Amino acid sequence: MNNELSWSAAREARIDRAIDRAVREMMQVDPPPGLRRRVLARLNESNNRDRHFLPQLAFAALAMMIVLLATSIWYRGEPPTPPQPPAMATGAPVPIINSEAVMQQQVRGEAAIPGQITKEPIRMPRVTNVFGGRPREASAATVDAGRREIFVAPLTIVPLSARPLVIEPLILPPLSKGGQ
Amino acid sequence: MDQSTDCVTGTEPSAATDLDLVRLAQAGDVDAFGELVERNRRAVFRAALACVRSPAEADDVAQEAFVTAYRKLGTFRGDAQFRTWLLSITWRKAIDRRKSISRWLRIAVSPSRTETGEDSFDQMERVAASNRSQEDTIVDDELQQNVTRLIRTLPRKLRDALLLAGTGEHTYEEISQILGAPLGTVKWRVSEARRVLKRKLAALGYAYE
Repeated sequence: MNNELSWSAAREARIDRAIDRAVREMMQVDPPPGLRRRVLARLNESNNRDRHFLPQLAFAALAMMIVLLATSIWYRGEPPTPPQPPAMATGAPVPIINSEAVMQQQVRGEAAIPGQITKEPIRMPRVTNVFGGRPREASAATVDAGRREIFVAPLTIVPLSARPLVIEPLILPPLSKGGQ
Repeated sequence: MDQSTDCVTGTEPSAATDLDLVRLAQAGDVDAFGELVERNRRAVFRAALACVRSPAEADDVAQEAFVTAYRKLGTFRGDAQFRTWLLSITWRKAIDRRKSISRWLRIAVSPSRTETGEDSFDQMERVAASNRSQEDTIVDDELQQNVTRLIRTLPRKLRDALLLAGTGEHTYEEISQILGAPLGTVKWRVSEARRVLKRKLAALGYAYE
C-alpha cells in the first residue's frame, strides 16, 4: 500500500516537473539583442514621418482653402440665372398619337419572333405637352422661357345666380276615424 | 507619485525609479525612455510570447508596445505602476496580433520551429548534457514533448494564465491586471490548466492517479 502511494506520488511529481519544465522552456526565452535600439529607431522613424507629414497636411489644407475661396469668388461675380422652364411648357403642338397603331406594332414585333430579343427599336410616342394642343396659351403655372415672363390666365369670377327659393306648401291628408 | 518634473530633472537614469524616468520621457528625453525599455524588455517580451508563442512575433509585438507606450506617455499619470501599464498595452497588442489573419496565413505558409516543436538535434544535445541515463532522459523528453503539445491545445484563458505564470517575470497580481481578471480567477485558471494537462496525459498513458 505504502509502495503504491509512493509510486503514485513519484509519478505525479514527475508529471508536475515535466509541466514546469515545458512551460519554462516555452516561456523563459530572452528577447533578441538590440530591442532597445530597434524601439528607439522606430520612434525616430515615426517622429520623422510626423515631421514630414505635418507640413504636407498644412500645404494640402492651404490649397483646399484657396480653391474654395476662388470658387466662392467666381460664383459671386455671376448674376443669378432664373430657373429654366420645363420642356413641356414651350407650347409646342402636340403630336397626334395613334395608340392603336402603336399597340399593333408592338404586338406584331412580339409575335414575329416569339421568345427572341428583337433588335428593332420599339417606337414610343413622343409626348411633349400634356396640357393640350392649343398654341400660344398656357396654364397659370406655365413659364415661357423665350420671353421670361409669367403668363397668368385671367381670373374670371362667375356671378352667382340669385333665384328665389320656392318652398311648396305641405299638404297633409285628413286623418280617418280609428287612426287608420 | 506626485513628484513634479522639476524634481527629477537631471536624475541619473541608472539610479532613477521607473516613475522618474517616465517623467523625463514625458518631458521629451528619449534616452530616459530607452532606459525604461531596457528595464522592462524581458517582461514585455515574455508577456507577448505567452500570447503569440513565436519569438519573432513576440519581438515585433514588444516593439509595437514600447512605441505605443511612448506615444501615450502623456496619458500616464502614475496612478498605477509603469510596468503594469506597459504590460497591459503589450497584452492588448499581442491579442490584436493573435487575432490578425495575416499571422495565421504566415504560420500556414511557413511553420516555424516554435510552432512545430523541437527538432531531434535539441534532444541529442539534452541527452549529452544530462547526467542521468540515456533511457530516462529520452522518456522524460518524450513526456515533455507531449506536455508542450498539450499546452497548445489548452483553452486560451487557461493557457494564457499558465504561460504568464511560467515566465518567471510576472507576479499573480500583475497577471491579474494584465488579463483584467480577479486574482482568485487567475490562480484557479493556472491550477485548472495543470489539472487538464494531467488528465490529458493520463489519457495518453502517463497515469498519475
